[in-house]
Amino acid sequence: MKYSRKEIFQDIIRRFRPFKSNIIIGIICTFVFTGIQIARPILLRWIIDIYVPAKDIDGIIYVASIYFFLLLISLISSYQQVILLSTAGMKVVNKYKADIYENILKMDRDYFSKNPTGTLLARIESDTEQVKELFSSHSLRLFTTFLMMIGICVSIYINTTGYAFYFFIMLLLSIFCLTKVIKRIRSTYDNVREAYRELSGFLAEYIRGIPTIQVFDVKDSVCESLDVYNRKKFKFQKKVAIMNYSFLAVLSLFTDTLVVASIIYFGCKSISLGLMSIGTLIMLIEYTRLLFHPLFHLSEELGYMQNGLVSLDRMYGVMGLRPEITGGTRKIESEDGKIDIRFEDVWFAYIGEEWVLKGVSFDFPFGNSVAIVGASGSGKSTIIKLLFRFYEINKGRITINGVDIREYSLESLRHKLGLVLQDVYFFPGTLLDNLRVLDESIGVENVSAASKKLGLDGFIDSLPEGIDSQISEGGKNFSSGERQIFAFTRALTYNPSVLVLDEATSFIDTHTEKLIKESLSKAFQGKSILLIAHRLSTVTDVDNIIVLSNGEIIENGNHKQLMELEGTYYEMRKLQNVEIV
Amino acid sequence: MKEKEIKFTSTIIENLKWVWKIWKQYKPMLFILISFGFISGFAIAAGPYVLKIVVDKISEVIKNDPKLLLAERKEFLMYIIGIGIFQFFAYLYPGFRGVMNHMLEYEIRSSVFKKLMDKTHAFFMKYRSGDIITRLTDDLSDFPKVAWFLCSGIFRAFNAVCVVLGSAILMLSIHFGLTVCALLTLPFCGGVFAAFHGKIKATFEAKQKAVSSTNSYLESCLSGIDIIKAYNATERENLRFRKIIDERIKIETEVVKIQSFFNSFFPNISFFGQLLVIAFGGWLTIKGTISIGDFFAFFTYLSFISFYAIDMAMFLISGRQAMVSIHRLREIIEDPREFPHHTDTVLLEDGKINRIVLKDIAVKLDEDAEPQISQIDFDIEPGKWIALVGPVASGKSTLLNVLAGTVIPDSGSITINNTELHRINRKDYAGHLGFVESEPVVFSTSLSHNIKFFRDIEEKEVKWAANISQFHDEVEGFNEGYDQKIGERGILLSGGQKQRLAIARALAQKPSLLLLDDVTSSLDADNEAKFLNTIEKELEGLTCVYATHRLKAAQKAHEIICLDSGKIVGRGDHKHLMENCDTYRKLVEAHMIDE
Repeated sequence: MKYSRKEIFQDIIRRFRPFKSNIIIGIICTFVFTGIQIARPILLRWIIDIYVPAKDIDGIIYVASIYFFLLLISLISSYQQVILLSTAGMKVVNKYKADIYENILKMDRDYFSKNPTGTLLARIESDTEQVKELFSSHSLRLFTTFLMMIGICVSIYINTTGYAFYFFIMLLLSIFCLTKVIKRIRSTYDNVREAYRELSGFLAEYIRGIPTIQVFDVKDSVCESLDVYNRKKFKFQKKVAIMNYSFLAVLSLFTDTLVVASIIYFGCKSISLGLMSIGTLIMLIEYTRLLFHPLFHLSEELGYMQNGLVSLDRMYGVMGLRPEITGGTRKIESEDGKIDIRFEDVWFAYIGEEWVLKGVSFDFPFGNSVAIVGASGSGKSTIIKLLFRFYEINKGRITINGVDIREYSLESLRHKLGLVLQDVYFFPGTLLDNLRVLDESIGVENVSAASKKLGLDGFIDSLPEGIDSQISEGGKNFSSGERQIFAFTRALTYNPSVLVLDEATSFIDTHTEKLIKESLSKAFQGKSILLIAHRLSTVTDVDNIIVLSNGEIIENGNHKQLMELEGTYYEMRKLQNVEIV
Repeated sequence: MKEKEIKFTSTIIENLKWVWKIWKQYKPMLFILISFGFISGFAIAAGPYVLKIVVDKISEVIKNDPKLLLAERKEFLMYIIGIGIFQFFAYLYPGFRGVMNHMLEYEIRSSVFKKLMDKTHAFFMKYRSGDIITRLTDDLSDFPKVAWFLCSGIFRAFNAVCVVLGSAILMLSIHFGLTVCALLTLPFCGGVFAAFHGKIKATFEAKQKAVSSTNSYLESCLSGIDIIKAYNATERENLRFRKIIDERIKIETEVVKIQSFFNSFFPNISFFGQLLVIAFGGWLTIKGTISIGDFFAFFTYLSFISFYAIDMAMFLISGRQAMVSIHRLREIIEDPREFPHHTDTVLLEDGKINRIVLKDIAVKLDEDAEPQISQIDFDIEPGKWIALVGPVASGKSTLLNVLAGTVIPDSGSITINNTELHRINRKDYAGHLGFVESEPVVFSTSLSHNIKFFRDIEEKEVKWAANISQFHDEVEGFNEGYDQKIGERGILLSGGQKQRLAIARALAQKPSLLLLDDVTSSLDADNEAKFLNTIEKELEGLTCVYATHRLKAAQKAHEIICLDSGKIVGRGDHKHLMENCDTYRKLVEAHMIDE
C-alpha cells in the first residue's frame, strides 16, 4: 500500500486533531505577535509627527507606556505560540517513531537483509526529527514571516499613498530572485552533504583498517586517498559559503540601500508636496527593515522545510509497506507437541532464478535428530529460514503433520520451533527478559526450570542480581560459552517441539561443546533436533545426516551408512580428522 | 615501559596555544581577517549615522522651504548609496570567515589522519574507531566546534566588538547620557543570553542522551530481528518501545519549555532598547537637546546593537564547547602510543627476509596485567614452516604481530637477517612480508583494489594471488569480476571469502615471510589442505609461520610450537609433542572426542 498525497495529508490532520486547542490558540498568538511588531513603527511615527513638534511630555510617557505594554504582550504571545505548537509537533512526531517501528517490525525477514540497521534507524529517528522541524519552529517562523509581510503591506497602504504597491513589487522581486538562488545553493549543499557522507564512510573504513595499512606500509597512499574526499568536501563547502554570503550581500545592497534610497528619494518629493510627514518617512524606513530582514533567513527556513518534506515522504513510504508473508489462520494441532516435518521438492532462490535450493525433499519425523552438512554456500542455513517462513519458497511445499505450513498462522508455526543461532543475540534488558524474549506470561519459575536443566542455575545465582541482572551491550559480560548456553535456555524456556541449531556450537571449544551436548540431549529428550553443523564431529550420533551440495541433497543417511558409502561425506570426514588414528 | 593509564589533561591556556600554533601558519590570512573585521564593523556602525544626517537635513529643509527638497534629494541618494556600497563589502566578511573555517577543517583533518597512521595497537584498543571518527567529523565540523570556533567563533566576536565600538563612538558624538544608557543594555542582553544558553545546553544534552539511548536500543533490537520473529516477540517489542517513547516525551516536554522561552525572548530583545530610547530620547528631543535624526539614529542603534552583544556572549559559550572538542582532538593527536620514528633505518640484507631470531621476547598490554607473551625464544631458518597451536588467548596472535613488527616487544629482541627489526626500513620490510589476520579488514572498494591495496601490483599478479588463495573462481562468478565493489566491510562476501581475499592481498607481493593467523579455519577442510599445498609450491623458499587450531594443518609444518598462557610449552613434531606436551595432548584429545 502506498500513501497518496491526499492520504498523507488526511493522516497528518488526524494525528493533530487531539491538539486542536493548542493549534487554534497558537495561531491566535501568532496573529497577536505579528500585529504588535507591525504597530512598533507606527508608534515611532506618532512621536516624531505628533508629540515632538507639540513638545508634549505626557504624550511621550503615553507612547512609552503603550510600548512597554506591547512588549509584555509580545513576550507572552510569542512564548505561548511557540510552546503550544512545538509541544503538539513533538508529541505527534514521537508517535510517528513508535508507529514506524511497529510497521518495520512487521516486515518480512528479507526487508531486514536489504535494509541495513543504519537505514532503518534513520527512518525511525532522523527522518522523524526532520519532520518535527516541519511541524514546529520552522513552519511557524515561515508562517509568521508571511503574516508579517501581508500586515506590513496593509499598514503601508493605510498610512501612505502609493507606497504599498511599490513595496509589494520590491518584495515579490526579492522573493523571486531568492527562490532562484536558493535552488542553486541547495543543490550545491546537497553535494556538500554527499561529500561529507563519502568522507565519513572513507574515515570509518580506513581508520578501522589502520593496523592493516601499517602491515603493508601504504600510509602515504591512503593519506592521498583521504585527501581526495577531504578536498571534495572543502571545495563544495567553499562554493556554498561564497554563493550564500555574496548573495546575502547583494540582497542587503538591494534592500538596505536601494530600497531605502528610493524611499528617501521619492519621499522627499511627497514631503515637498505636503503629502507625507517626516515621521511617515522614518516609519517606512523601519518597515523596510522589518519586511526584508526575514528574507535573509528564508533560505535556511525553506531548506529545513524541504528536508522535512522529503523525510515526510520517506516516512510514509515506510509506513505504507506491508509484509508479503502473512501466514494462514490454522493452528498446529498436535498431541504432546508431536510434529512431523516434510520438505517436498522445495525450490528457492533469493534473487530471480539463482536457485539456492533445487528440489530438496526429506522427511523429518518427530523425535528424530537431523543434521545438515555441506560446504559453505550449499544452502544449509536457507533450509532453516524457509522452515521459519522468513522467506517464501518458490516451488514445492513444506508440510507439518501433512498440512502446508503456509496454512498455519506464523505465530503457531514459530511457536513450535526453538531457534538457536551462531551469533547469540541479546537485546537490552534483564537476563530474564532475554531468556523469555519479553513474554511476561512465562513465569520466572519456568525460566529457572529451563536453566536448571542445562546446568546454568548456579551461574545465574552467582550474578549480583541473579536473573534480574541487566545485560550489557550485546551480552559482552558473558563468555561465548555462557552466551551459547543462554541461547539454549531461551529455546528450552519456550518448550518447542523442534530445536533448530544453526552452526550453534562453532564458537565454543570442543570441551565445552561436549558438556553442552550432554545436557542438551537430556533436556531435549524425545524432541526433534535440526542441526546445521560445520564441525563434523558433532553429527556422528544423529539419526539422519543430509549432505547438501549446490542446493541439492546428494547423500542421506546416518553416520555409519554414509561412511560405508565412501562418498562426499566420507571424504569430508577424512579431511577433517587427524589421519594418524 | 608502558604507562598504566595515560591520562590526558589540558588547560585552556594549552588549548589556546594549540589554536595559536595553527593560526601561526596562516599569518597573512590572520592579518586580512583582522583588518577586514575592523573595517566591516565600522561600516555597519556608520549606517544609522548616515541616515541621521539625511533625516536631519530633510527636517531642516522642511522648516525653511519644503520645495528645496527636490533639489537636495540627489545628494541624499549619494549618501545612502555610498554607505551601502561600503556595507556591501562588510557583508562579505561572514563568507570569508566561512571559507576559512572549512579550510582549517580540511587541513586539521588531513594532519590528524596522517598522525593516526603511526599509532600502535594499544592506541586502537583504547579508542574505538567510531570514537575516532566522531572526533574527526563531529568535533571538527559541527557548529560550534573546533573548525567553526577557530575562525568564525573568534572573528565574529571580533567583528561584534568593532561594531559596538564604532557605534559607541558615533553615539557619544551625539549624546553622552543616552549612549551610557544604551551601552548599559549590552551586559544585560549578553548576560540573559548566557544564562539561557546554559539551561538550553543542559536540556539539549538531555535530549541528545535520550536520542542516542533510543538509537542504541533500536540498533540492538533490530540486529536480533531473527530471534524477535522466531520467538513471536514482534508485538511485545512494539509495546516495549512505546513505553520508551512515553519516557522520551516527558524529557522532550522539558526541552520544549526551555527552548520556547528562549525562542520567544530572542525576537523581543530589541524591544527593550527601543523602549529606553522612546522614553529618555523622546524627552531629550522635546527639550531640543537632540534632533529628530539623532533620535532615530539611537532608535536604530538599539534595535541591532543587542544582537552584537549576543555574538560576544556566544564567543564565550562556543569557546567553552570548542575547548572540549579541542581537548578531544589533542587527546588523540598527542597520545604517545605511537611507533617510534627511526630515521637511520637500513634496507633488508639479501633483499629478502631470511633468518629470524627471537630472544626472550615479552609483551604486556599494560603494566599490571599478566604478559601476553613472555620468554619467547626461538630461531626461524629461511624456508621453514612453523605452526603455532595452543588454546584461545595463549598468545599466538601477539607473537605473529611481533613478527610482523606491528607490536613492539617490551623486552627481548627480534632480529631479521642479523639486524634488529626496528632498525630495518619499515617499507622495505612490509614489502617482503605477508600477514593475514584472523579477522581481516577488507574495504568497500573493488576486489582488485583490495588485492592491490595501494601498491604497484599488476593485474596478472592479482589473478595469480587470487588463484592461489582459491578465490579466483568465485571472483569470476561476480557480475563485475575483479571490478566488483564489495560494499561496506565487504558485505557482499562471506567470512571465508573475506579471508581468502585477505590472503590474496598478502600473497600479491610475493612475500618471503608469510604470517597467517588462524585464517584457514573458515575454509572447508579440503580447501585448507589444497591451499597450504599450493602456496608451498608457488612460493618457493617461503618462510611461513601460521597459527591454527586444526591439527591436520599443523602437521604440514616442519615444526609445531605449542603455546600456553603466553609461553612456549612444547616444540617438535606431532609425535614428539603427543608424548611430551600436556597442553598439546589435551588439544588433540578434545578434537578427537568422537573417534
